[in-house]
Amino acid sequence: MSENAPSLDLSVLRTGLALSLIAACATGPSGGILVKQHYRPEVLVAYGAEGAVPSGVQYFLVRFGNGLAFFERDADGSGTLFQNTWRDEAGDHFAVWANGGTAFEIFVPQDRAQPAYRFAYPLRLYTIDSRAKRPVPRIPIDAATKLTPRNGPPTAGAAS
Amino acid sequence: MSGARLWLVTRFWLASPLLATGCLSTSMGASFARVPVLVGPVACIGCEAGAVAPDPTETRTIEDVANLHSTTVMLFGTATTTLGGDAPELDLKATDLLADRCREEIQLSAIKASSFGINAFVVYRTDVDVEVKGHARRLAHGFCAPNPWPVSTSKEIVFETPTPPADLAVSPALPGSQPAPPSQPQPPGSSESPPASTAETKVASP
Repeated sequence: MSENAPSLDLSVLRTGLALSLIAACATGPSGGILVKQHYRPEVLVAYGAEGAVPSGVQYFLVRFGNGLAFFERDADGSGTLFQNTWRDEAGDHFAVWANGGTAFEIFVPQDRAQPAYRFAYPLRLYTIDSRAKRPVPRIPIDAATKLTPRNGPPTAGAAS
Repeated sequence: MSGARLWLVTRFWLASPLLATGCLSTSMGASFARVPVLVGPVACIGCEAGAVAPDPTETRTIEDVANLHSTTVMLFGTATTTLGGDAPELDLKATDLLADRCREEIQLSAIKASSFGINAFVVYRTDVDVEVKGHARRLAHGFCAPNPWPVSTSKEIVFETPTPPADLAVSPALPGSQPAPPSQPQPPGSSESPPASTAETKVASP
């Protein structure tokens, strides 16, 4: 064994372990995409959040093509775009999930002046409805975050 | 094969079973159960020490044993994992057990949890056992506090309405239990008058 082997091995091994865990335990999000810092959607509603809120994260209902999407923007400007959406009598729903991870659902009432709510479904406590392509909680789960629309007219690119 | 590469491959070989089982997880908690679960000899949620437990109108014994195990075999650079048994899923079981979370509760009297893992060269074996004992009981004066935030169910998003105290409404019998005689009116301050926090939605989980 060469004398430099241990330091080389450790760095390579750490990287390999990390990549293997990522590859084995989780994949990219289903129902949405990860967007980079330059993403500037047309914002329909901006929300203030209370409850379980990751640090620096902001929430926006945005226009996506001819429809709607929900944008969870991280502090650095990147974020997750909830593209998977469905509508019922109560309002619009958006959801993303990752294999082997938590699923998230956003509920936006038909009256967009009313608060929206964000739900987090732990790994064991939801199934995926393959037909509707959405997460379904196995037991009733309380909302984790209340999203209150901010005052003021919506502006294009306000998520910048 | 160079020494460095052999060193690396050897360690990766040893680490692979751990990697393969890194995605296998189980939970012995029940933090998402939306029913009252009391652990040990406590009278009710939020009670002060020494408080007397309210007399239940109906009780039934519950006992659950769950074993989850996995075996990973690492051969020729490929890890094969087999899973067996049942996950504890205490959240689901506790929620399913009670038909009316506002007037029923679970009190656990014994919790036994153990895990075991062994790595025998190419085989990595893990075992998780969870055993709980206790009883479910119906309370004459249980009620739910208002919950201003909605709840997501398998069908829809719902805003729950507060449940009035049991003496103002008739609730169905506890599933699997024998019908109990109607509870007798209790004088104020008696042991059957639990504090208001008895049926709050906050849960003390095992």
